[in-house]
Amino acid sequence: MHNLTAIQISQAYRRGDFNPVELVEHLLARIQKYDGAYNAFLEVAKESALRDAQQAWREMKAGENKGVLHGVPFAVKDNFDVAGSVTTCHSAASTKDAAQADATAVSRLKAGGAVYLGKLALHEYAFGAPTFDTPYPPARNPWNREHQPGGSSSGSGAAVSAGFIPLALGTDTGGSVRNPAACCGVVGLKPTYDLIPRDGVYPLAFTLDHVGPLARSVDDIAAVLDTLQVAENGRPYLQPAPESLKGKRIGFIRRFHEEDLSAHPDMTQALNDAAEVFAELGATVETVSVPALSEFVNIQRIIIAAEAWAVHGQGMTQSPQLYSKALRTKAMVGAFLSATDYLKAQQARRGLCDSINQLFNVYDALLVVNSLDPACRIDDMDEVNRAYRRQARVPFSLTGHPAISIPCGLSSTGLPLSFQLVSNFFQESELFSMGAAYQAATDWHMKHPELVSSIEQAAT
Amino acid sequence: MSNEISASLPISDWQRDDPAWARLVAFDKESYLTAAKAGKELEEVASGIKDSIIDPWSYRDIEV
Repeated sequence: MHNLTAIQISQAYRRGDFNPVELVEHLLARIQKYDGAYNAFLEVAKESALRDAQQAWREMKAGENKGVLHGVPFAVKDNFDVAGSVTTCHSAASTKDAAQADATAVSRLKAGGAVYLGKLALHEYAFGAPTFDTPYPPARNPWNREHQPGGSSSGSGAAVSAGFIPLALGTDTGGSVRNPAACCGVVGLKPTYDLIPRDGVYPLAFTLDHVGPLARSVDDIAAVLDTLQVAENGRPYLQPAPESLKGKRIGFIRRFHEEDLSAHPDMTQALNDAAEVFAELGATVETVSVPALSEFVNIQRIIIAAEAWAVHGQGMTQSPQLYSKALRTKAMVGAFLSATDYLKAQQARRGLCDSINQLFNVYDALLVVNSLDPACRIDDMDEVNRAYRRQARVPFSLTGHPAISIPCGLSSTGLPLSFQLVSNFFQESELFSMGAAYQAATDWHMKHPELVSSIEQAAT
Repeated sequence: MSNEISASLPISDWQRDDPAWARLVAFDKESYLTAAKAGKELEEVASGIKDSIIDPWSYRDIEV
C-alpha cells in the first residue's frame, strides 16, 4: 500500500481495503526499516500521526467525509512551522524554540483531514547543498543512495519516492520542488507566485519563494491544491483526465537544452518522446523562441543573493560557525551587491516575464526541460555544483509562472528523468489537465525504486 | 581583514569597518573569496542592464 497515490488510498478507504490507522502503522514501520539509509525524515510524529489516523478512521466510520485527503498522510519540509515542533531548517543556526502555530498550508491540510507524519530533510535553509557539515545527514536518492535526491526539498522528494509518504510539501525559490521531483521520479508543482500562502514558512528570498506540493501523480497534486482551498474561481482542480488534447497548443522550448546548454542524450530522447506523446494525444507541439537561459539565471542570481543575505547576513556575521560552508559561500555573495544592482535586476525581471507572457497569447502550455542530466553523485561537490547550473527551472521561479515537474523516463543508469509543463498565471488547471492526460497515456510515474534497508546499509 | 584580500575585491565601507564581517572573513576565507568573485560577476551583470530600463522619465509613458 506504500506506493499507492493519495487518490488510490482514498478509494481504498472507501472500499474498506484498509483504514488510516493500518496505513500509518505500515508507513511508520517502513520508515523505521529503511530511512536510516535515506535520511528523508528529520522528525517522525509517530504518536500524533497514530492519534490523528484513529480520529480520521472514527470520522469515516461515522459517515463524515472531509474530502479526498481525509486520512491521507503527509509530511513537510522542515522550514514549515508545525505547532509544538522546532523548525530546524536543517541547520545549527535555527531557533531552538518550538513553533506556536502551524503554517497556513499545514493547518489547511490538517483541516482537510490529512494526517501529519513529520518533518523532512532539506538543504540548509533551503539554500545550502547536500552537505555533511550540518547537524543532520543529507537525504539520499531512493533510486540510488550514492546519488543526490535534488534539493532543496531533498527529504520531500526522497520520502515520496521511497514510499514513506504519499504527499509532501516543499518550497521552491529557484527550483527546489521541481529538482527533487525530477531526481526522485515524482511529481512536483511550483504554483503561481503566492497562490499557496507562505505564512509560517521560513523565508529564503521573499520575491522568489513559492510553497509547492510533491506527490506520485498529477491528480494528487490537484487534490492537494483543492484541500489548500486556493482555487480562485471555486472550480475544483481535480477533474477527470481528458481523453484527447485536440485543440491544445504546446510551445516546446528547445533552446535551453539544445543551444544554451547541451542535455544528456537520455534526457533529450525522453523530452522528444514526451513531445510525441502530447502530439499523439492531439495537441499541436511547436518549437518556440525565448531569451537565453543565462539571462534568466543571471537576474535570478542577483535577486536571490541579495534577498538571502538580507535574511542571513546578521546571523552569519555573528555566528558563522553555525552555518555550513556551502551556505556561507552562497549567501555571502549578496554582501557584495548594491541596492542599485538589486533594483536593476528587478526591473530586468519584468522584461523576461513579458517574454514568457507573450507566449501564452498563442500557447496553452510550454514543454521545457527540467534537469539536463540524471541525478549526480552526492559525494562529489563539484558535480553537485555543476548540476545546479544545468537546469531550466530558474526562468519560472523568476517570472512566477506555474510549472509542474512530471517523470518521463529512466536513464541508462536507472535514474529518473522528467520534464516541466508551464502555464500562464493561475492556470494550474491547464497543467493538471495536460499532465493527467500524459500520465494516463504513460506509466513512468508508476515505477518505484528498490530500497536498501537501514541494516543492509549499516553492514556495507 | 587583511589589505591583501580586500584590495582587489569590491568591498563596501561597511564591510571594511565592520568587526563582525572581519570575523566572518577570518573564519572562512575560502568562502569569502569564492563569494566575492561571484559577487563581482553579478555586479558586472547588473551594470550591463540597460539604463533605459530604469529611465525615470518613463512615468510619462504610463497610460492612466
